[in-house]
Amino acid sequence: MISEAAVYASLIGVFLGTLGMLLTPNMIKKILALGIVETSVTLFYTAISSMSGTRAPIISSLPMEELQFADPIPQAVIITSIVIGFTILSLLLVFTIMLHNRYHTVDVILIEKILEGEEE
Amino acid sequence: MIVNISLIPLFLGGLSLILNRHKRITIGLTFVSMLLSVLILVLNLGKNFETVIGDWGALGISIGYDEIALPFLLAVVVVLFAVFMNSLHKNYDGFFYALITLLLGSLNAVFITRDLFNVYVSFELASIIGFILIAYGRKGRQIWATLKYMLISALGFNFYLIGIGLVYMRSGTFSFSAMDNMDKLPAMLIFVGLSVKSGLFLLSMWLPDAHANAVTEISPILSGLMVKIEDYLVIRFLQYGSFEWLRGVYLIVGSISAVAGVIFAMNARKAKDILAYHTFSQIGFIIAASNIAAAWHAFSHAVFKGLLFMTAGNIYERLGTQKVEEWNEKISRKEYIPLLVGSAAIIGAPLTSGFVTKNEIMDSIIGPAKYLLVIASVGTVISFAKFVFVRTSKEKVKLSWNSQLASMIMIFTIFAHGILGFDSHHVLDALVMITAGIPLYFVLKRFFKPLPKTFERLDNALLIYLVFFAVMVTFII
Repeated sequence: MISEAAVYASLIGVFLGTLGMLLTPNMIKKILALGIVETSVTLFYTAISSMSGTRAPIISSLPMEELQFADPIPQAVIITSIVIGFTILSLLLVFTIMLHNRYHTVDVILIEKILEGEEE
Repeated sequence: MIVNISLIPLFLGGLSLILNRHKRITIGLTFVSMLLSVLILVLNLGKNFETVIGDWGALGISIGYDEIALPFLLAVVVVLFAVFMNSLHKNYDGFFYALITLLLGSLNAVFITRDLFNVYVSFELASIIGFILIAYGRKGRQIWATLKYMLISALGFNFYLIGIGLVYMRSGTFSFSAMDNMDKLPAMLIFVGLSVKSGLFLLSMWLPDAHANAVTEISPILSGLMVKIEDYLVIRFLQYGSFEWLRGVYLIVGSISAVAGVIFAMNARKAKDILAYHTFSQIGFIIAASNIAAAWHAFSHAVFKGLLFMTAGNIYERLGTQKVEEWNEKISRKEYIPLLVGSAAIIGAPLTSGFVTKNEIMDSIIGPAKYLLVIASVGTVISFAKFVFVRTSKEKVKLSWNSQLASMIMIFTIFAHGILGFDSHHVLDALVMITAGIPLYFVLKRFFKPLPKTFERLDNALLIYLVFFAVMVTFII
């Protein structure tokens, strides 16, 4: 029950984050919205892992089917995607800083205008 | 063991990241890892297997090798080796060669894995290296192109993650074989998530900026290898039951992309822009067919597009201009020959690799999509006539031996592939297309002017992608 609610909450998070990326012209805010999408996907995987139960997957007594473990595999794989998401966010911020140093703005529309003007 | 084809370069790449102050050592490690991948590839030639790493049974990560992966693994080795040779006399630091070695390992990993999550990890590793490499020249346009690419593709890959999460929820495994009996929703999410990096028109509009602005050594990698990952995955996934309904979608999207890319390319003036738009068109051919013939077209495209990008980049570095008209009477014969061979291959002239694989694609497509692809082929002739009719100068230009060797490797591959696979029953079609295209070029030449880049703005590209996503969602409901 709670895990299904978490699945829907995460999908709403993805939707809101995507809208945020689309609607703001500010590069930093776009990156933050992407962070919301990534966190929601993490929540989605956690919700999947909690479908079979919520206890830590440590076998304390047999038979183990009665213990209602959380599924460890989605948790294990989502750590990788958290790391990759973190890498992408930090790289994006680095490139934004480099652009800001050069053009003194984080406004997407302004940067594109400046770059079109640069062309011969 | 086939898994070493990715583990050895990844390990040596990590080693050269540590030793990046010693340029010679990193160059040596890159060379060794390329040799070892070729060796492993030769040892596994002709085999067909799927195994699981570790003693975990069905829970382990499955890897495999078969004839679909072969063209892509070959393309990785050929293109990366040529790029490596071409870069030797320029002042790249050890960090660059470490990245190239890591890229070799991660690209090989994508092409041997049979695990959905492993695809995500190795694809993202390859992309992150790609992002750093695009911005390697630290020019404003390059950084902006990278930023655009990263933002859109990171969003797309979150859709992919939701898709494979659904696959796991319903089957309890990330193995490819789980996709045999899924419904349409996960397949749609995987398709839309991957297609952001596919290089298809309307889906990855970040592409022209990134491919045209990257430095000389990186454009061949981006156009030859990075977008091929998605083609490989499409060809692979279409073998599984839940993707069968997407074949029609691929045919439509691919043939539209083939024509649209050509229209943009005909109107472009700068050499690298023309080549970048042609990636749209050639990827359209590959995606429309999505069979083993398309896999070999991906190989030949990687080689001839790599050759064209490399030569155009070298000429741009020497002359300082990308406009093809300004190359007249300035480029030497030695630079003209690779341009001519690459253009002949992309046009599909007999005895080149493009002729062999393009005709196989044409044979495998039936219905109205074929007419679109024929139009795209004639358009290819029109837009590459620009390169073919560049006038050369008589003066001798000294080119470094290593970049000549890099071009020679690719020219050799193009002709070897073209002569081995030669089949005479399409020669007439190819000649008709060429003789129709060249007069059309001279007639239409004065009407061409660069089309506006409205679609390529960040917000518009994102919006188009999301609209496509919404269309696909309504399609399956």
